[in-house]
Amino acid sequence: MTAPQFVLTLPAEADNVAVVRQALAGLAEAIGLDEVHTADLKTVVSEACMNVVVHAYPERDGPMEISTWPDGDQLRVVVRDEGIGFQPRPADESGPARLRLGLPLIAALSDGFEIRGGPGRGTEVRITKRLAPNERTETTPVEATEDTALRFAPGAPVQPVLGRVLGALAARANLSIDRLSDSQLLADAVSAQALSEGQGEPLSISIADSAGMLELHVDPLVEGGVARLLDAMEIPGPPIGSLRSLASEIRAEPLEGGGERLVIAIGEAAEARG
Amino acid sequence: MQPGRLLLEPEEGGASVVRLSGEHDLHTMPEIRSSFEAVIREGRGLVVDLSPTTFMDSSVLGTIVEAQQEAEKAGLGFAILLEGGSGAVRKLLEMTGVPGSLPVLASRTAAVELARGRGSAAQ
Repeated sequence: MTAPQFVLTLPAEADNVAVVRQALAGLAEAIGLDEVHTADLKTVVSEACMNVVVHAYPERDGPMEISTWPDGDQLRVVVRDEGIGFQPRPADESGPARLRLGLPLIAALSDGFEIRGGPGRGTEVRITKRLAPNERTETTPVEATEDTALRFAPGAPVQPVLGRVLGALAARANLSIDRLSDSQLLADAVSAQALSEGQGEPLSISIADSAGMLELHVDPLVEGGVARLLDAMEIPGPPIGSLRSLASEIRAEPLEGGGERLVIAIGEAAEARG
Repeated sequence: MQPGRLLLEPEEGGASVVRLSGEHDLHTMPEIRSSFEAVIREGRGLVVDLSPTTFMDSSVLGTIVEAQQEAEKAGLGFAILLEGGSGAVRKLLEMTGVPGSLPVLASRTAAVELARGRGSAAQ
């Protein structure tokens, strides 16, 4: 790494954490950081410094060092001490019912962090903070779901993943062995067909499971894709049979923006246990 | 930077407002905790006013959560007051799920009312 932009070293004392914040506020102003990012940066570094003040030097005074590096569209900050080292503790001695929010806050508000060191070697907390918020829009939030949801990028290995997931869910739903192998055949068929029928968009598969029943939703497929998938599955005779005989219900649902969704229900409680 | 200041404002009817202005962290936390303890010891409901707080770390947040627990144990009312407030404080509260578990009110009258009300209800 190149030389840091600045290194601030000061005694690890509670009233010095405000000084560190001031240094960062100055840096933020110099590089034109907006208010939200500045506040995040101050929180993250304050929490790291607080860890040093509270934990690093239980029996003596000691320093803390804050260094910063600009790195393209990121800012790296390292908070270092010469203390006893990061040690997982069963209980925090600093007071009753102390919330231990420091590290979760650092993790939540930074774009990456790493802890180095160990007993007797001091501790180094390395924080990366991205400076250009607009470049983060690629990340999508984790969606709330009650079902199992899979999303495959075009060209991703659908079959091995879907086969295993379906197998696990079929077992959990108490599907009989016959139905379990059916679910594998179905995974093969859906994988082979859905990809070729897909629209070059990520393929979404959601699977709702309940006792004796699995319901798959696969989308988006091109219009008529479900019918073609069914035709392709009409392989006469054992061992595969047709998709229609594997599934207890198959239907196509139109999607709002064009194309369609394949809905397949496998297994019925009575049949599965029969 | 506005250094952290603490102002204790007793209200009529058995509640006190502890107003935290400027930046607060581990350094000012012991003083904040003492003032919370004093209010609860006097048997008064507690309002923590974070409206003028420009920065707060997790040690201060932890002290506020503890104070709420102590107030509840003592049968006293508790409320956090946030009239406007800084983006940083709002974000910290939201990220840590405080508004879902503690009462955060935007009006001083309502906050004092809540801190006072529970206190008298517990008598």
